[in-house]
Amino acid sequence: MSFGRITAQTSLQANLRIQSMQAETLATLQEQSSSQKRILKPSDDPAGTAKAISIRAALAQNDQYSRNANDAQGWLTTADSALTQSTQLLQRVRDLTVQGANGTISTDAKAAIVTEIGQIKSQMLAQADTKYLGRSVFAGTSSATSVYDATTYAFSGVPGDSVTRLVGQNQKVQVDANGAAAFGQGPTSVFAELDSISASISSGTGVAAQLGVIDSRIQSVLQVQAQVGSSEAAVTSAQSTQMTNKTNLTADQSAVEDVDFASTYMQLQSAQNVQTASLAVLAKLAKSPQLQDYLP
Amino acid sequence: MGSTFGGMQIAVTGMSAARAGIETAGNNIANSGTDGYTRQRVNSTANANLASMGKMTLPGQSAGAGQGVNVVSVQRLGNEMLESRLRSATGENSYTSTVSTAYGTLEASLNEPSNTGLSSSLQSYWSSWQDLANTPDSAPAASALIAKGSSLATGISSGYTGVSNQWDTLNTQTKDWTTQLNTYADQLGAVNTQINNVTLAGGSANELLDSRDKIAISIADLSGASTKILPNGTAEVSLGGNALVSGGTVNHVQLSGANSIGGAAANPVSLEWVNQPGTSISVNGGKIGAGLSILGPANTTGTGGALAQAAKAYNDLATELATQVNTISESGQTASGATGQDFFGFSSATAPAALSLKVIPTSVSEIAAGAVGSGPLDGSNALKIGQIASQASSPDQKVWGAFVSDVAGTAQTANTHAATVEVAHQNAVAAELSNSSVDLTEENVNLLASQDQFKAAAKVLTAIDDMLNTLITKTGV
Repeated sequence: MSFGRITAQTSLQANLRIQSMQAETLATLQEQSSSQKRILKPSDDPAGTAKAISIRAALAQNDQYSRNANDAQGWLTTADSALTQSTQLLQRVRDLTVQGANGTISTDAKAAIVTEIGQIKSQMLAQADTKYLGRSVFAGTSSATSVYDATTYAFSGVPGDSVTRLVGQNQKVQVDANGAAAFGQGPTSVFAELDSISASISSGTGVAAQLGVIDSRIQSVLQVQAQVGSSEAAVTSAQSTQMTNKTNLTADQSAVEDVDFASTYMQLQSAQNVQTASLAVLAKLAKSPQLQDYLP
Repeated sequence: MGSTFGGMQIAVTGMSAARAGIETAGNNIANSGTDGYTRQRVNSTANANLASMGKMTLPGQSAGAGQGVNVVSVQRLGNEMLESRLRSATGENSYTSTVSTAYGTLEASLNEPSNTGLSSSLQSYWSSWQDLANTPDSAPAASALIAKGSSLATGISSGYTGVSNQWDTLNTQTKDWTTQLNTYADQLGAVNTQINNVTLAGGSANELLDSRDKIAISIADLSGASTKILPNGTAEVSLGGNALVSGGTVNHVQLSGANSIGGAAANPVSLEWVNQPGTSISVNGGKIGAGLSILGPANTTGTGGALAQAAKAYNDLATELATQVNTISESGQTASGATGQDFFGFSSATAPAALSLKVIPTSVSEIAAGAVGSGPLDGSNALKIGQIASQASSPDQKVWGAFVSDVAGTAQTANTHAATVEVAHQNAVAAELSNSSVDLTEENVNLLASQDQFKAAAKVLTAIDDMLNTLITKTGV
């Protein structure tokens, strides 16, 4: 600024103008320091604002994905342990069938085997009814109270339906186990097979042939369990991706939105110093000598 | 040579010039703090000697001193260039700072980026759909979704209301500014008449010229109107090419148009001459110009009035949200198998979409969470709605994100522009003050000089008196 002529008024006006500019800078710096936010309003950084909004959206989605993944873990663990127990029960049935195939077995022992197989059948029915948070893990989207009818062994699941969880962008994981694939349905279900084994053992005919039936049933349960296992692996890997994403996104958010504290603090300090100095100048200006002070 | 007593007259002119100097310095000192006062100076010329005044100068008579001093005028040291620069800088500064303030208010009302703004509400709304997808039969999840949907609708409607209130406030303010403009125009007309009268009578209109310039600045501040100073000292103000004030004639202006943001689309706010209603005046500066530009109607390219554009964004968001959610919602089914269920609806077909957006379902049984043909516990349709969030065409990004970015960019430009213009304005103020303001040291020096001049002129009188005394009493005794 250059003036042709300096008067008390022009000096005061210039100083006041600088004072108000400094007060503005100081206010912004103080707000930034106390809020620790670099972007106080969108126009502070339009590009940063757009980025901050999309990072926040991505963070919210990531949080939702991890909630979905936790839920998926619950479903899959429940299905997995139900299938493990089912396999153990079927192994026991196989052992009992081998015993029943022995021609020298006593009638009492046969009766005991048949009773045990009957108990295993009801345990299997209970396993097939396994629920996670009130939802059957083997019946998909069906709302039926039990997965298998106790007499007809009809499967209540909806064919073709599966329960999925979104654990990442466009990454859907099936979290239910296909009950029909593991346990069969109606006359070809594991329950009908157990009834038939009991009958064979009671009558003592065709027991050995039942071993093949039980083996293929164990295979189909294991196959479903393998699918559940691969879903679990997918969920675990998605969870680790979510953790990484969260860390990265939080770091990005901080880089876009947060102030560089050291630099802002230094700027604040220097703005305060400048303000003190210019106030001192203003005080001097107010007391600056006039010619009349020296006239007689 | 003049008469023996001629020297006394010379001394008297010196004494009266000195008195004029003392009085002028006194007036300057007295007004050193008066707003709009322009310092004054005594304008004097030396009187030529008598012999050289006439046409026929006789030989031998041309020698001799002049006939003292003549105070021609008390001159006002104004500079029309600097005044004119200050006026145009003031008009521009008022415009940009008013626009920048309006954008500041609008920006603050957006509340972005934050954990409480509309984009956060949208995010938690989409998350609620995914939560419901995980547990389609859960009443708490459904209530949470309905609550999130309602709070989103409330957020959009209160955003719209905020913008509409800002519009009302600015409209009232612009009306006040228009009234003020008429008042100043009247004052300037009266001052013009006085200036004309005083100048015709040959008087000094210095103080009237000060108030003329002061009023002209206020008019520039309000309307950015251009002022021309005519040779007779009166100001002629023209607004949009027509005279607001010319001599003593004043044309009044008025604000016309709708009184609400909703009505302003069909009936935009504009400034018009009272005697020529229906023809709008183009105002490109000052507070009124800024007010009119912010109050203007929206357009499809996004370059319309800031507030109408914001209101349009809220309406678009409501419409887009309802369309996208309902399209998917209608294609799904509720637990009981009902299809064609909407999630969002509008309580009124005529009211702005942002104000009438509402949530239709009241319980879990009315939400179409499942795909058609699937089991009652299917949540895949809810998931589909929840996944809108991650699409580039989501209402979040397509409408809201784009709008926030737009406002941020425009506001930043407005702020930068305002800061630049502010500096230019401050410089113009400084330059004007530098020329017109009173400096006490300078006035003290002038005062001393005039005092000394008076003393010396009195001394001249004493000397002549002494000379005459010698001539009369001591000669020929």
